[in-house]
Amino acid sequence: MACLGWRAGGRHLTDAASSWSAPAPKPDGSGADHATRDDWAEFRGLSVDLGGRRVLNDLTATLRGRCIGLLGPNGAGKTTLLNTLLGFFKPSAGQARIFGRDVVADSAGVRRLIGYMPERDSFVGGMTGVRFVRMMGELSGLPRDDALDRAHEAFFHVGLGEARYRKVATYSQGMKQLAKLAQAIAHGPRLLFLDEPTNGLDPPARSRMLQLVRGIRDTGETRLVVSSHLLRDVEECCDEVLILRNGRIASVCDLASERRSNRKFLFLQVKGDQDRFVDGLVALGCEVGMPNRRRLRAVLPAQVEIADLYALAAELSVQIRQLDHKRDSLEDIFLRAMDDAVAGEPASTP
Amino acid sequence: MSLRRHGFRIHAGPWAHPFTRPLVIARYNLSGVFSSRLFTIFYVACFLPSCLCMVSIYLRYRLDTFVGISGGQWAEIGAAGILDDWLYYGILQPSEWVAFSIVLVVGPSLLAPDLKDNAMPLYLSRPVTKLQYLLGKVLVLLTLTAAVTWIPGLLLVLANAYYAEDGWLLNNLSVPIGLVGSCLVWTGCLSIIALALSAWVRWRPAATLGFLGLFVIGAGIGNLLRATSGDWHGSVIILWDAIDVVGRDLFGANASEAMPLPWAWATLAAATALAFWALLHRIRAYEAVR
Repeated sequence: MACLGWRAGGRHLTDAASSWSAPAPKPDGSGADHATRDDWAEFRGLSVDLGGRRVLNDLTATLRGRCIGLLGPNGAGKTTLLNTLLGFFKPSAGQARIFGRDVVADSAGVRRLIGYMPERDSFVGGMTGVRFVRMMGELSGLPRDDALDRAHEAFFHVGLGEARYRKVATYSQGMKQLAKLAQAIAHGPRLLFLDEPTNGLDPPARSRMLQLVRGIRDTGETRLVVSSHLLRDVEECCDEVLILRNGRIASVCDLASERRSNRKFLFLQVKGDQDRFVDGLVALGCEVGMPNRRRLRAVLPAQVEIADLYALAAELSVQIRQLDHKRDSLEDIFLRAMDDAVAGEPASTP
Repeated sequence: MSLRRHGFRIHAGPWAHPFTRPLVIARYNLSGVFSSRLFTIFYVACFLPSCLCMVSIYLRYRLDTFVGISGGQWAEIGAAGILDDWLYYGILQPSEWVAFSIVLVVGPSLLAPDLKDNAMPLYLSRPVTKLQYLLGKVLVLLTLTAAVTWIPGLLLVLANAYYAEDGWLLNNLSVPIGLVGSCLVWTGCLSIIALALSAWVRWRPAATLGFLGLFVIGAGIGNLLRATSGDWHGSVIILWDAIDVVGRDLFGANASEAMPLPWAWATLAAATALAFWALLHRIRAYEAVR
């Protein structure tokens, strides 16, 4: 099982000291910008107090995935975590590093690597779309001509090419979301923070947004952190999830491994001689259980493919009426993490 | 323009120097300011005092040519005190009014829209600090005012030096120094106050009215206090009096009796510091949820 309870520790919650000593970044920043590095973010005892209240509490984790889903109920600390990594809040304890750079000591260096799409509407209303994105590109450090070039590219990339000379204030909600994405990617960041990217989008626009997110993820050049309340969005884009609850990490889960581990776990419904079919499955090396009379549960060994089951059924004149992969949905993982967190929560937790 | 490339790609080229960030903000805001034709007309009109002063300088030295005033008559006019501080009244005081007008028109529109549209997270999530952001905004006002106040003022001083007797400039070096110094102090103070109001009020018309009201009501209360107490203490809340005292001192003109010089400096410094403090507390990337 790739989904690791926080208290159990595990693969993602490695001994941070072993990978903490990242090479010192070169003055131009290239030394620390290695996207090929597996662990690109590390938190060590990261705590943040706001208004006398502990909002993030002793977060320790190492993030490696290409696209991290940041999940949690309202007030769990998702946005605070993003804001802390952006340098908006100073940690009251602990450290956070992104691509080997300390988010406090080298805040400007970290922010140069990041593209940020905030949750709320954020724009400069009096400007045309392309001018707005160009200015944001220049503020990120792009030279003037490159910024113009990339602003146009970003607008075409997100599908707003035809509207790029309109003032941002006149955009619809969906267009504003896309413009926010355009300004976040215009300078080609190595890390992209997307805070509720599908907020206020209708189904086609949401689908388009998720497609864009997946496209960026699949370039392999940029890491993404997607904060969302919508589990389905996260499930569609992310290969790893970080679940927060009450400012603590409730779970870190590698969805890709989860999917791989569940690929050979099948539920079957057959018509015909079920006993002979079960014997045949066992003979193939499968572990078989029968939760009830109508359904079979089978775990296939590595060498057995689903085609072999159909061959067996044909041989025994048994009809396979239903065949499902067992798959923990993200909702199951999320709810389990919430339950685990409640069960193991200390009494003093805020 | 590479419109054929529509995909996402990492930027692998060079990055601009961090010190250029305020200049980027100033450049985009300046271009936004001049996108209004009305403002452009107003801005051109701001050159009028300098043009009038140029004419007056010319006439002052060439009037005898036109109307036949002899050297002796000029001496009589001078003795009557008519031309005392004429450069001060001709160059510096109009500059102060022009700077005030420009800051009044432009200042409130610089910050309020960014805050209203929640643009601060976008600025501050980039390698831009609060101070760089504010410097960019202040640079807009300093540039706009410089171009119609002390830069033409220096040209007027040079013109005066050209027409006046040899050595006039060397003997009156306090004039250009005072001109630049006064304009920078006044514009800097006004800019910070205008930006602070813009940040707190967040609605441009209200911020403009607030800025105007601050000076009008401040002057009213100050004059009332001065009238009732019979001394200068009421002047410490009149910024116009403070800059007048400071400007005259830097310029080398006849001293004003509105208030002692240290109090004038203290008034300007306190107003600027208070506004700056308020500004820093208002410029942030997030809204505190209580």
